[in-house]
Amino acid sequence: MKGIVFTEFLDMVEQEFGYETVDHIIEASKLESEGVYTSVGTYPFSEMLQLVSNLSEKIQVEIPSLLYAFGKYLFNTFLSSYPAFFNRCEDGFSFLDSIDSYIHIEVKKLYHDAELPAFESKRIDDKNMELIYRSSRKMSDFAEGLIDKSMSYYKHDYVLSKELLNADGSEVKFLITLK
Amino acid sequence: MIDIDILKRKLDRERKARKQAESILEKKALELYQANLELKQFNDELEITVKSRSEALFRSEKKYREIMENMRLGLVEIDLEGKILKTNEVYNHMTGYSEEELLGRNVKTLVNFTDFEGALNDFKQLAQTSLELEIIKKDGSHHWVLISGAPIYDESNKLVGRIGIHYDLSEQKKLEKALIEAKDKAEDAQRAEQQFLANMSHEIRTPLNAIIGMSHLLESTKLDQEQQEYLHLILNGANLLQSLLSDILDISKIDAGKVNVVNDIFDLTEVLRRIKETFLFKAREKDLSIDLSIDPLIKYQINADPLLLNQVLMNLMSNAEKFTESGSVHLSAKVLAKSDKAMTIEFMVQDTGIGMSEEQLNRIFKRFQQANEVISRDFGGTGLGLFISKKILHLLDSSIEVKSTLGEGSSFSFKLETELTNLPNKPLKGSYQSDQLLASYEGKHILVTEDNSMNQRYITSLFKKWNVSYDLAVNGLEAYQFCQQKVYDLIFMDLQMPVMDGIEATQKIQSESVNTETPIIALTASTFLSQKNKALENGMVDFISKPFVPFHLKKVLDKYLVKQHTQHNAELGSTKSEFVYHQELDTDFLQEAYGNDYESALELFEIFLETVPEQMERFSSNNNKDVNYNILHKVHPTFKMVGLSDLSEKAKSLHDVINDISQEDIKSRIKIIQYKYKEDVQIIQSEIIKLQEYVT
Repeated sequence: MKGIVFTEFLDMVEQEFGYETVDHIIEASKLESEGVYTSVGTYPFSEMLQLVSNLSEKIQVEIPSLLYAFGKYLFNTFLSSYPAFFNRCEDGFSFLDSIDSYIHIEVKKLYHDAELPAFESKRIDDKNMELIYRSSRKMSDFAEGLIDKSMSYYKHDYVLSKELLNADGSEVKFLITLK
Repeated sequence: MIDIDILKRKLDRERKARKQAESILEKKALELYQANLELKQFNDELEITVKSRSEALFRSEKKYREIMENMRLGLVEIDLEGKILKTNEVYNHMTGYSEEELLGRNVKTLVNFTDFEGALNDFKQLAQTSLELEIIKKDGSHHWVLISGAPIYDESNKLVGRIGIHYDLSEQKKLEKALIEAKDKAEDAQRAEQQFLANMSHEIRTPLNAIIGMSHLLESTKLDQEQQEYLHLILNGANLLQSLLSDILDISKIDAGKVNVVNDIFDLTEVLRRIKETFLFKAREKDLSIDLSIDPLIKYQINADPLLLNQVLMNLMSNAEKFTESGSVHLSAKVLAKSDKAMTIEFMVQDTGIGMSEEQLNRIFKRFQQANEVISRDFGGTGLGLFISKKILHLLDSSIEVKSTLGEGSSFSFKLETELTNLPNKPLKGSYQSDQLLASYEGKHILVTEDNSMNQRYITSLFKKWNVSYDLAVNGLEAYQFCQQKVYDLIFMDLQMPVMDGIEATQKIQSESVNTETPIIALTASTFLSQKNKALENGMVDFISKPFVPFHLKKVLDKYLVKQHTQHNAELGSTKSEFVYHQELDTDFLQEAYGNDYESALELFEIFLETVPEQMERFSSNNNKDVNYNILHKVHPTFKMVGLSDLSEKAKSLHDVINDISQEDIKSRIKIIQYKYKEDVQIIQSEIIKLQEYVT
């Protein structure tokens, strides 16, 4: 998993709960990296799982909620770091369309080893879009946070519904309906 | 406050993270550097490739541009509306405009062509790929070009415009114009030459007619040996001049395309026999026989051009006769193929004359070429005969074939496709009455219309000699006046006369006179067929070309004034073999005079025996010069009539000189004649018996 996810996650934890909590979840986890992350590095996904689950235990918040909140947080980081991805789109649907067809292609160019989820978008009509998330990481809650922030960024009034396509949550269907 | 240990750990993590980041970044930088190097290398390679491709493209483009410029091809690119998008130097030069002036202009305004739009469409549909037209230059002048059009397509294969390739035609057009002018000039010159020849024809023929005519008249006056020789030379010269003139005219007519094939239905056997007769006359002076064989399959009249066929055969026969001192000239007509409608006939003239070598054979059909120079010296002639024959046969879709062996003889042949008719050949008539065979023109009246005084004298002298009653008119008007008062049996009419010409006079005579039914014969100095046709179209029944010999005139008189006796049993194709006269008799003359009409021959032989012996008895016992003169005068033609040419000659020559020689000479000559007569009369008697058997 890309280092930026770790550094941003730890930044968010520090901001919300102070460095003590950051230090706690690092110390509570058995980390090969010893909790040393840089945004340009790559680290095992299992470390993220440990950090998240230790945070959940520590602050008594469910993992899905944590991931959702992290998705919303990371959107801002993306927005400030890569404004070009957002400026080239006029509305939320076209931005969501561009994740698979453009953004992830660009990311892959920069980081050959990046393992990215698939976002298969399908416009049903002017008002409805179907978005299917596929990833072995099963982080659809994190994705939901990013989707919500994206739609708000383009100032849409909308309803988002979510449907698991399989039991482990590695395939999830989002339906976004504009009001 | 944060626990100091936590802070320590934080700092430691941050320091390690920084180091990790630095090492990652360093690694990345190295990778980047490496990538940059590779990129640079790629770039260099790409640049080299691009450069070499650009150079190749440039060379190719330059090559084609140079080709275009070298070929002086003007290029113009237009859009679908015809607006000019691009031009090249040559096109600018062709139009006289600069490229700036041309760009955006509609190409339609630059061409002198009414349906340019249609032509462009044709280009589009590939119905037409090139077009000759005039472009309008800036200075307003026009310039001929050949335009080839090609469509231009964009990346999605959509037609977006056209390119026009202009080839400068002005030089060609100039050349074309010059050629047409040269052709017109040449044609004018040819027309002038023709006119000249036609005029000269008339101008030369008239005096030549007088020379020949007067020479013939002179011949029948009393002349001594020397004078006769001179006269003979004059006649020979004049005849040669006449044939040269007609040969040259023939060639100019053929070259001018003025000789048309005029088919007519005629009796081929009659034509062939006439040709034979003509040459028998000439061959008599040599040890030469003229033979004729006609395929018995030729029973019906044919449709072909009798005049042209006759001319070719006469030419071939004339050559054969000229180059054969002794032996034979054989004219034959053989049917090679026959259907109900058509017949292919092979005509052949074979001689036993001097023949030709291979090398000579190659020359003889050329204009003015004879086999060699010795021939033209020894045999005379113009060298035009075969050339004319070849050209005429070409007109008749035939060609001449020749086989010859030096010293052994030659054979000329050609094949002619003829249409068959269902008209049987005419029954054989007694052949033309020769000069010596006096036909009776008693009670016949002839009108001669002729403005030339020499010709007047010539014709009227002949008529006097033949005891023909005639009136003379000096122009058409006078002829017409005569014709209102007196009925004629035959009218001779010159075509070109002052006051009123022959054609007009003929029309007047035939419409309002007492001679509307009288046959009118044209006298013409023009050999042009058109003149003759004009005469025939305007009511004249026949024509005589000037100059003519007495024989020609006589033939016409006989044809229109003397009733021919019809013959019943001598049809052509008859399987009966030819009667063979006694070898002492003038077989050729008899054949010529009677043909297959052996009944007439028998009749004349019998008349001979009834009348001549009585005369000859008086002749022997009488010493009176005047009486003998009269007897000789009467009998010498009669001898001739039964084939006793030698005796006739002897009688005639004595008759001619009887008043000038001594009594002793007369006596000795009479004795010779009597002696010969006694021998000959026995032959005549035996011939009568043979003829009687043959006829029955």
